[in-house]
Amino acid sequence: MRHIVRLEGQDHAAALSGPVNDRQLLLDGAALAASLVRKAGSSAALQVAGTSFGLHIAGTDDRLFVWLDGEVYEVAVLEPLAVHARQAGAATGLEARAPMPGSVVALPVAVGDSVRAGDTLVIIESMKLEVALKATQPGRVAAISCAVGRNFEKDAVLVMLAAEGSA
Amino acid sequence: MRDWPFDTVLVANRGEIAARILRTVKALGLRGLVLQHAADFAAPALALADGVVTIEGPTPVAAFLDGAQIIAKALAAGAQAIHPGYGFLSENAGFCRAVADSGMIFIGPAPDAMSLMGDKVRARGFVAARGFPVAPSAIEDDDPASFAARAHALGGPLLIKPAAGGGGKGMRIVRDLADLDDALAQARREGLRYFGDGRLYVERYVERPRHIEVQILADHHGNVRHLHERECSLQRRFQKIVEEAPSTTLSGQQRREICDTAVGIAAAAGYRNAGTVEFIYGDGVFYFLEMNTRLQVEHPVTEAVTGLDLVEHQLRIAAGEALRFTQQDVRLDGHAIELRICAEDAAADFAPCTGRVLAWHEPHGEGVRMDAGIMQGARITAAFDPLLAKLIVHAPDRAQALRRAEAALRDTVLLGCGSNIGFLGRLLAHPDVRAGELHTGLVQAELDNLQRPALSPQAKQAVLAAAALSSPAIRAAADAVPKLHAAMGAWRN
Repeated sequence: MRHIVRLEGQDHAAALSGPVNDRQLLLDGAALAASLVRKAGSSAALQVAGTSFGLHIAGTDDRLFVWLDGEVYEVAVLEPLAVHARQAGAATGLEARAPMPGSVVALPVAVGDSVRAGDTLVIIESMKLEVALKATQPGRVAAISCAVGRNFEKDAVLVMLAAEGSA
Repeated sequence: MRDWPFDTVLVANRGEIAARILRTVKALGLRGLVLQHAADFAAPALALADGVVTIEGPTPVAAFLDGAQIIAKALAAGAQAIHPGYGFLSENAGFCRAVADSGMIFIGPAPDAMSLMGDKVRARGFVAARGFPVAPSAIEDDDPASFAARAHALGGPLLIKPAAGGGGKGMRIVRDLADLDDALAQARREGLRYFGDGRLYVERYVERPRHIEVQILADHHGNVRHLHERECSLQRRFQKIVEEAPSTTLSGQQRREICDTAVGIAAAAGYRNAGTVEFIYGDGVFYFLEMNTRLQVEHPVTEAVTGLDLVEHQLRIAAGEALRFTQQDVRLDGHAIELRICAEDAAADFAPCTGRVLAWHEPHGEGVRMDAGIMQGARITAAFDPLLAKLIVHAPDRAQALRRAEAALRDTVLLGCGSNIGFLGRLLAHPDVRAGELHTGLVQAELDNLQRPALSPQAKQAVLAAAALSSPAIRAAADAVPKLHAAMGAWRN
């Protein structure tokens, strides 16, 4: 089974084959000889297609962090099914999504309200910074899934709009 | 000092500053306690402290702002003095008074000086009335009915500030006066929420200003000294991210003038303990901005160039000792730079990042100091400020300090939570920063040029390969493949 490896918003298909000590990496259809030797702490020596890299790596099951040349890259590992599920719910411009984790400061709209593009849907606060999330297109407030004072995680949908004219 | 009037000090704070204060408390032979809320469970300060005082509240921040609870628990734990650090209750005159009323010593200024300087409008009036320079402004309290009209009359660009503010919260620049009324309303709301006070003032905004501040130490015997200036012009969202000492722009004459002005203001206010007088500097002219009545985040650059431990002097002053050095004794040795390592994403307008510290490596070497508030296992949440650690470098001159800072940043590794470490490295490499041509809008103006460049195809392949080779899910899938399929290897589709 190939997994999806997501880096900087781009998806790549990745799979390993062969025994632990002689891995072949299949990356976006190309087969590469690759090995990773873990060293002290998070540091590791990578060999891929004949080139060596010194890097740091640590992660959880589906969220990996790779330090290379002074920069850290976050890599998500997804099963192909999960990718399809996410795409089905992708942004339509009708949702106010939390750009960062935080809490709700003010909710100037109520379910049923008509809003114009640019109207503030919800004001949030994160680490003492206040941000207004605005409607990107006109519509009617279909659902509010947050409340003043409540916390949320990044990417949570806070307010849903229905396109004007839809039921 | 032979006899301290206190032997146990509670640090009423968390994160890097709690650890930094505890180090000096312990080095002086005193007992150090620290606050802990359940949100923090892996932190250097908790490991350093001789005792931990657990606090609770409806939110983690509310717990650190609950002065009555902190005082009661401090007394129960045997504390005789409280060091507030910065933020939280450090500039709360009511807390300062309550600590004194409880019989403990507050390590900081007297409440009167704190109230005076904490009210930005009163402070400004006080400073102007004594002949020190302030920027042209309109103050709501002078006559609330005509405030908006007076603000419009100043002409743009304008800077709106909450009267009770600090730390850049609620501040807004207005370039088009048509936006002024909306901006006033928004600033008022933020002022009410952060400081419980919606009063505002507006002042003429100096274009391409530098932020220069002077460190003060004042004792209870009438001695006021300055420890030279710091330049903190590299900011995002009105909050500093890189500070250095000395400033890259002041001449010797200007340095004497700005430092003497700061000493004059502190003396006029009857100030005691450590404080910082902040100025806006542009076109050779400086204006009083505000006085911060606490230890500053960026105090380590002053410690590096003067060789003085500011926390030690805070403790000695609070204990009633006289400053033992003259102004001439305060040296200015080399150049120091501090970089604030924050959990934030420079590519998303510095939005905060959260996560868990999976790996944390600190740099070492001559002239390198790391004041860290995190350690492996720590959880970084949106509950607190995004500051994680401060990297401070010191070298004989600025060019060497910049090189040392870049090398140290490359040796700093944080995995598990997004941070600005890479961004700080690119900022230091910016030609204007290298040249010392700084202003407080530089970061915002150059933001596009400071973003991470695209990965080269080879580097991208390396990152993906490293991730695939360490991912438990991908490895498990490979090991689960039946032998026949494995033998087919890359041919399998």
